[in-house]
Amino acid sequence: MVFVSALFASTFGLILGLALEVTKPHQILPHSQAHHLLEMIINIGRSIPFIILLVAIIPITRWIVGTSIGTVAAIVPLTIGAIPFTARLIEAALMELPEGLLDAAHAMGLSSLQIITKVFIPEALPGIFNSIIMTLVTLVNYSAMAGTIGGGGLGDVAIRYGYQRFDLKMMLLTVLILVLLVQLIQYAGHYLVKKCNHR
Amino acid sequence: MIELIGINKIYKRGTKTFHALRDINLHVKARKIFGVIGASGAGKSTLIRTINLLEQPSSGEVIVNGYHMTRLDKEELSLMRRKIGMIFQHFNLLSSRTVFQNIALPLELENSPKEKIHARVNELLNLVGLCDRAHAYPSQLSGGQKQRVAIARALASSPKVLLCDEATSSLDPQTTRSILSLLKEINAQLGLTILLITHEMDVVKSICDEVAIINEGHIVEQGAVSWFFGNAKTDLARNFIESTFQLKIPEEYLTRISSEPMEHSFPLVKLGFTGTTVNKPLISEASRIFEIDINILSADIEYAGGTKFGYLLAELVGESHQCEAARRFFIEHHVQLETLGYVTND
Repeated sequence: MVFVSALFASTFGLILGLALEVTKPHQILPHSQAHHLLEMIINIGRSIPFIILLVAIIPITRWIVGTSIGTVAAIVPLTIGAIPFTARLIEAALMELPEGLLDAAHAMGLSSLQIITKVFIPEALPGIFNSIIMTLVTLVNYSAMAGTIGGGGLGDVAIRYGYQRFDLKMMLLTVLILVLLVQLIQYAGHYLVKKCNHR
Repeated sequence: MIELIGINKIYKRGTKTFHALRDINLHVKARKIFGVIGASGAGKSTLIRTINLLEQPSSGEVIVNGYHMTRLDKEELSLMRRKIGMIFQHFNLLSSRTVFQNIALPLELENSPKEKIHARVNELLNLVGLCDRAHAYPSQLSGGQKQRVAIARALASSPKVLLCDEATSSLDPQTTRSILSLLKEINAQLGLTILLITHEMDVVKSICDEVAIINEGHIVEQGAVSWFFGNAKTDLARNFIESTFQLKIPEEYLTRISSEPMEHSFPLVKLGFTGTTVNKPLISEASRIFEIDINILSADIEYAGGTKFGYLLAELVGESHQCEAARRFFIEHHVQLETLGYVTND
């Protein structure tokens, strides 16, 4: 549930984040109307508390998956909730790139698509991987809330047994597993970032 | 090879307008090295960026190798830019690619076959002297090495023109010299036309054939370097030239100098040698003819564009009418003479 959501969120978040960055005034595809629209969408997405979003998009979930209950259904709100977050992280990773890089890219006669594929993405890769890891960890967190609408998973166990049944042992156990999971994710992420970072 | 005709660039910031370039006219002949010098903010960066249209001129024509740059569509501009190489002050290499891959990038755009790319990159690595660092990443290189990679990358598509945007401003003097000599070599070997901008007159002195001075968006003066250093007309040009010469009156003389001749005082003169100065050993001749000692305190004499020029600070020690005659002698032989004061011996 978490990993699949992260996959979708990362893909759409990357596209959205790229779009957000390249439509800025001094970028390769400046378009102030598109930029403002994207800003608005992302800001709204970031403002809605996840637990409310979960319930609010039940109709959309039903339309895509056919039901609003269960692990697969939970993927929809998890993905939608994470996309604006991921987009902002990707935007930040792209903003880190030195301005002069664009000058060199233009001077070499690269097209906008070539700039995105040959310059932006490879150069920002450490930042992009970092964004994906952060998204993943955030989703582990959100998945607990998804448990409240029957999303299943560890979060669900923690809430049902730990919170609703006051079974402290169970709650602590699930939290421990979650902590270990996040450690593993961070460790793997750290390794990936290190491998691709030649700065 | 490069022509700028009536170029203007105006930036609008809210209600204010900033006139970065004013009616610029420039002609860079093929196979020549042309330098544009100016203080920070003078407009030289804007000027060089209009040549490959990194900056769109507000009005005027930019013609490179016969092509009117402002009239090209997006695709044509892309293709044209590959025929114009550019290097920058901060190198702008891709940190995620090795030296080899950085140089190969322009060739990848042309969809050249792999073997062709390999051969060409190796050729370029040889040219810039980096064969042993082909698989290093930019973060592992020194500034001079990074600039060499940048030069190799800029030359990958065999451009006819190379633009250098303050290419040596981030480098130490020794590295600057080696990069400049590499550029001079490339110009000679490949017949590459080079336009460079800088705020350091030394750069212009060492490799340029022609020079233009820019100030507040105007080209103040321009000409061949060999003519320029001795014959610059405007004060601004002269100031720039003089700023490159390190001439200081030593401390111990500063305390003993006065503006009027006094008893037992000797003139302290500044002698300026230019392209029009008679090419004879004037110092030793004057010393012999007028029986005076010429005590050289400070000197900076160089060659640029094949002409000897520079300045010399000297004390003329001898009888006052002989010193006077010596001064006239220098002036007659087209040495610029300025009496800075009179020094007394204690």
